[in-house]
Amino acid sequence: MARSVGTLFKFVIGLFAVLQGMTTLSRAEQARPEVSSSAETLTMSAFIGRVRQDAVLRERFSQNPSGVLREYGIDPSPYNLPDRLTQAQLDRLLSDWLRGAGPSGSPPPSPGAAQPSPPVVVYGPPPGRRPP
Amino acid sequence: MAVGDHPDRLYDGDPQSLARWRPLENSPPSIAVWEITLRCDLGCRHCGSRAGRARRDELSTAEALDLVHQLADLGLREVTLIGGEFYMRDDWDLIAAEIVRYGMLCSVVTGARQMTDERIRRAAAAGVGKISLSIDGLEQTHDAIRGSAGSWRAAVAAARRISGSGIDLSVNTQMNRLTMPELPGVADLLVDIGARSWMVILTAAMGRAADHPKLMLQPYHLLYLFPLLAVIKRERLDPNGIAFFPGNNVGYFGPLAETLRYGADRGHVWSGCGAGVSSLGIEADGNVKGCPSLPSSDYVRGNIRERPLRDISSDLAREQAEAPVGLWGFCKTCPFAARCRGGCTWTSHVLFGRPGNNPFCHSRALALAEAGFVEKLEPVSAAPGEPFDFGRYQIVETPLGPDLETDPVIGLTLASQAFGLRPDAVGLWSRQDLSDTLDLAVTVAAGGREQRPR
Repeated sequence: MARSVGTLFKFVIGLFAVLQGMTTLSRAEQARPEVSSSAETLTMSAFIGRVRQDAVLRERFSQNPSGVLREYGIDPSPYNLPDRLTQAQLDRLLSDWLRGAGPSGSPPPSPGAAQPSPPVVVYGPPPGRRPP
Repeated sequence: MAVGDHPDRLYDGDPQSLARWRPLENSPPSIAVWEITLRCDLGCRHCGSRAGRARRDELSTAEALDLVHQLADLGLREVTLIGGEFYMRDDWDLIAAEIVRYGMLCSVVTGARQMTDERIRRAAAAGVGKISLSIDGLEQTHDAIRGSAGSWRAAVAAARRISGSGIDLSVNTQMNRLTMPELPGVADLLVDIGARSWMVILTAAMGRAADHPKLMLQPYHLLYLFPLLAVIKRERLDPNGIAFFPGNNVGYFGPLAETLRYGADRGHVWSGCGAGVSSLGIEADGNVKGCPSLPSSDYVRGNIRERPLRDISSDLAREQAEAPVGLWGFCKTCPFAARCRGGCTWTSHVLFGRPGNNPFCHSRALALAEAGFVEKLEPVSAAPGEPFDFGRYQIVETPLGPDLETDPVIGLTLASQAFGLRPDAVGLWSRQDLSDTLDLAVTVAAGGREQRPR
């Protein structure tokens, strides 16, 4: 009896979870017609905000960045967009820069550590000239 | 030429060897920035001096050469000729050659609208060591800001000629609402044209920029600007050996200061406004102030037609030592106050009519954001329309909220940083955006009072 109750309980929980997932999906699906509506035009800022909140849109955007931007009336042509976004590009776009550390929360390297090539000479007379 | 030939003059990557470095106590200023004429062939919307026509009584050639001798006698190490547009004065190369002849470095700053081969040859013949030209964003943005169609193409063409001439090519870029999202594209261009250094400076509310409040960044934009600059430096400039020089109003003491300023990791951090101590600013009619950007009405301390430069310079240095900046507002409470002294005098003075409280500060913006606030600047009164004039602004604190994410500058900045910009991109802003930002009339908020932040 107890096993039956437990099984029933698990079934109810599982059913609830499935329904919850469907509801979430359904909400996303309901949003999609709006999203894909060519009448909707967003600024890049508003689009980024939408991508942050909408997992389905985020996935679509990463698969077809130029096409999705066009759907929202954003001209993709100035951007160096690949056919598909990498996770790093998506992270950088959506990262919280308010923390001030830099994209993806990863602080830029300390200047003292593994410096790349140092700046070249930027002062001085043209080659071959020597001030008196 | 090897660095070792003139170890006291050339930059070898050690920030302490920079000619611009703050001089030792009781040493003369190291650099003078000299507006040799106010005449200009561009009509830049952000121009602090409202350049266009020459000043009424600009120095004659004889007076200019005498000033060169006084600069050398004072011990200056570098003289930068600016305008207006420096080449609109016919004797510019005579002045440049005299500067070099007297053992000082001579550099020039140009909008490069007409920086022809002949002018580059004259610069090389005069011994000019560095030409800094201005590139303010991608083509459409630059042309709109500069008020001249074709000015971006002219500047880029000049840049290629300069980098092929043997003269060091540097690029200056104004950072404002229109250019900020396009900075990654400018950085890519620097590599392409062979620039050796890049100086960036925040557009401050002086002169014509004061007439266009929407052109300026808001203090909260620094929350996004500084990480962007750090990424650009790390990924585009450093690998290509391009030196990065943040201007004096790009600071202060934030978590990225060490990344952005050479030597900051060794304690060579911002140490207060150096006007009159490390620098001099000279106007085309002989007026002298501590920094070329400072408002003339409040900061000119003499004219070389009336007093020797040495005397004026002494007064400026004494003033800095004996009358320290009175800090107020947030800056008064800041833990870095003693060292920072309110950041750039120019930037705060043209906002509030006095220095000592500078909302354009990364660490300040971060501190406020952590407390759930951002600062916004609102115009209170317009500038009267004179060279180096300014209006008044007030600071308004608002909650840090989702509206920040709807700011078009932030969205475009995030996108351009994440994806980069195509080499053939001409701009991120629509023509309507450019027009709205640059043609905006100053709105005077009646009865507005400055809010003093905590």
